[in-house]
Amino acid sequence: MQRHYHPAASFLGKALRYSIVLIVIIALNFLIPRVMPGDPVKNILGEQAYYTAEDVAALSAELGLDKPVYQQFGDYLGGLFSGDWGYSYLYMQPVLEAVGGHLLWTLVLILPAIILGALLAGLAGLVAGYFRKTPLDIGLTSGFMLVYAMPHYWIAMLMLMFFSFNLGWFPMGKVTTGGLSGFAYFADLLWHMALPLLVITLFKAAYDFLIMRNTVISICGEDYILMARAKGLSRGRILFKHILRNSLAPLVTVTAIQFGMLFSGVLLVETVFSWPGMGTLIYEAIGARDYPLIQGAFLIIAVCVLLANMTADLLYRRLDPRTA
Amino acid sequence: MNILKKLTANKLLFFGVVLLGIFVLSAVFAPLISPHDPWTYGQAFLHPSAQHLLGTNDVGQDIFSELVYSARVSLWVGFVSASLATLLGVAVGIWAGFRRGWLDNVLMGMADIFLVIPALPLVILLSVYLGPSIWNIILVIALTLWPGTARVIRSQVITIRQSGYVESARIMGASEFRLMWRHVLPNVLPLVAAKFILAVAVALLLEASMSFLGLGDPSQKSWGMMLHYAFSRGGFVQNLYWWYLPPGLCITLCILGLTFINMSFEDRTDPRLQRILDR
Amino acid sequence: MKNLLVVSNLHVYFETPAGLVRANNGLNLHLEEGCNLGIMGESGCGKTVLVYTLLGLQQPGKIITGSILFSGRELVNLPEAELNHIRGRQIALIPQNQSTALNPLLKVGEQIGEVCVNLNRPDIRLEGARRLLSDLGLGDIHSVEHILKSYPHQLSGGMRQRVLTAMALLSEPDLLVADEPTTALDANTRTTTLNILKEASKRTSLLVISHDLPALKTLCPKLGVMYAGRIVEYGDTLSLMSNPLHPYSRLLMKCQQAGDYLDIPLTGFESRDLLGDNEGCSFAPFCPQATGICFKELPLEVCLDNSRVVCHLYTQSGMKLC
Repeated sequence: MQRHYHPAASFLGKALRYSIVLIVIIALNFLIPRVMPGDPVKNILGEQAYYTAEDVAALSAELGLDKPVYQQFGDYLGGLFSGDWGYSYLYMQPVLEAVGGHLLWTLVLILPAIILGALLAGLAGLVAGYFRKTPLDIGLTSGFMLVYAMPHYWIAMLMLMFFSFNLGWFPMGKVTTGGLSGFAYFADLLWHMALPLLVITLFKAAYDFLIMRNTVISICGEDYILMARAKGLSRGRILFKHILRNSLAPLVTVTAIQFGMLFSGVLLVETVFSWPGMGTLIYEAIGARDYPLIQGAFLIIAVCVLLANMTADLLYRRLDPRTA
Repeated sequence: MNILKKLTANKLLFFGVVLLGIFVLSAVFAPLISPHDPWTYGQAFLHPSAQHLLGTNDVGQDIFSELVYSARVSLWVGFVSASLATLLGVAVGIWAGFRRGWLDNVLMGMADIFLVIPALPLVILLSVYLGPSIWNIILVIALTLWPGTARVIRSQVITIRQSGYVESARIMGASEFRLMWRHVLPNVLPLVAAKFILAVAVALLLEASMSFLGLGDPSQKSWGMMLHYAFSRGGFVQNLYWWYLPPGLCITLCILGLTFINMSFEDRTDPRLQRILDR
Repeated sequence: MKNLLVVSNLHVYFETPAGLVRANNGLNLHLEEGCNLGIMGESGCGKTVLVYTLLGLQQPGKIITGSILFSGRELVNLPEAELNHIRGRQIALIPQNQSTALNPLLKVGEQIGEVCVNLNRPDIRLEGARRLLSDLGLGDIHSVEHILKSYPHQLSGGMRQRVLTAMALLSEPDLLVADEPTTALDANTRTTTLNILKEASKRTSLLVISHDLPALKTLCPKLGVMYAGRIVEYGDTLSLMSNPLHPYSRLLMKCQQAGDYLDIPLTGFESRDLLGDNEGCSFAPFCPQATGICFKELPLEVCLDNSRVVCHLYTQSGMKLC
């Protein structure tokens, strides 16, 4: 029996696997502050928490540090499920609240970026793979490779500087200029969103493009494409009915699986644009060494990535009838 | 002479090696190349001049010298983490692919977990507690990179293991270690090389990202750290592009070089041509 | 009898990292209308390259010289658009690998339907397809309907073979090219396939590429023997089989008595020997009757009664060159 990442595995098996991963992540989150070097109270509460030497004993008891490990873990789990993810001394609010609020803004950027990036990469990859080694392909591939090689936050910085600072076409960051409502607010939001969305879409497209292009190239070498040509089908039909259709499954899978990488990139880009999402949260939490906040962020991110992977599995089964 | 010929024949490989080579040389010969000691303080925020080719940063250190010396740390972290990750990944991959059974399940289970967990957040989480030393960074990066290699090597090993000559060697009584060392490993090496190069690129970017976020080692200079200071210490808002442009450019060029090298490995044979010949 | 297909002096070369591969090296053949031609040879002799060159499906950049006349029309260097018009309508292909020739993600009916759509003829609808499939032994109209709604991986190899045959026949081509139609088939399916092809040959002309000699005997009155990118002997199947002229053909027929199929390479010849500038006959190193001239000069085609041979044994004075 083999636990092998293969889309054909049963759904139940998949759910089990993901649950195990989730538990491991939670366990990691639980263990890390308790085994890391340094004062465990500080590791748990973060460096923003202020307390004196006398308080330590009381706090230890309160945090349950004297209880056996499994009981601590039980308490921890209970806390998680009841919404008690700890307190952020940096933001002066419960971690779940702080994280939740920031997560929303990150999703506002990520979700459109995924769709746009996939579209861009899909079409560009299709064309580049089909017209392999032509100037079009070379141009596209070079362009995307260059984008792929650049650190995301660096592109963000360059764009911000150029389009915002020098040209003044876009705002300098943040989400809104404030004091607006209704349609004006929405339009203002889009205006602020434009640059960060562009950056994220670009580098997601860059990664997906290379995968898509490789997929298309290998599909072009398949026998059924040769057969399609032998049948006298038009080029357009082959391109869209056969090649595109067959490259969708891998593309979707890659998109969902690379969600983790995408998230990491978004975090970095947000920092540059002062976009009030998870990125800024983590950046500030790191600076303040607010551990509960970082842990909460990590947990939420891990859960999101797990969900994305599960979505990938489901979609793959729909797209490839051989796995049904 | 033969190597040179091979190199120039494959343009992709050539450019990749050249690009990477520039920075490797910069790292090795840093004291000779850089005009100043990058650690000496001086007048801050100076614009580029003959004295300071790229100006100075917020504490007056010469940016060009910083740039040259940063190649050391950035490349060092990249290569060492990748080496560690590859070694670990290959060991696990070969062992799991060879032994199969419950060991395989456990190892691959672990690999899967690390694969699913997004790299940067995990790295952040661990580094925040472990503190900003270089070795911590290297260890943490290696930890996130090994599963990718392990999985791929394992698949390859399974395929090779089922091939004829390995089976016959086994029947002839070769020990397991010998089998792995003599038969499986040489066939897996090309894949390992490709994965290694990829790992270096990923490690490079990870280190840069971590440093940018403020988790880097402040006692060292790396391109990521330069960007971190450029962003947070006023280089950005003052539009001192000579400060934040070059480090990013260096990272980009290194990654490009590595990508070229990687692509040249894959570009060996045209699969369609092989099939025509096989017919 | 009018010639449907005439291939003259066809050279198909590939640039590979290992050197120039001459897959087709001065190939001549002709196929008369209403007649079936079989081409036999071992793996690596260039059969499949010939097939794909006929259909104009080689990758761009392959060096192709010579002439392919199809119904009097030159196919070599024909613009892609016009070639595409001929493919699937006047020339159809039954490919070798039934397991990979169908798109795994599309239903079979859709893939057959593509042919119909392509023809732009409203009278040929899926109805015709259904009837064809039924004729080909896939059951009554209802079972056929079920097959049309299936995916390729849900069908057996024999069913896929028939689907591919139906696809080719649906367009009512003038020339039907069958690439190794009986390879790797079990005895039953092989018989069915041969019957199907025999049926098909009533409506079109067949070009059958195979190393299955008994099948060729059944289907094709004319036979060409291919070696190293050339047709070395050509003639009536029965007389060729009973009295082969070329030393290579003799070798083939002898092996045929040993077993039915010719899967194993008979000589030391491998596809990589297609490289290089062999001055003389490619078979010379392996020929039991080779003489000095065989290694130095390329033999020319000689016409004898109804046959043609490319061998120095026959290019003496008095023999008519083609």
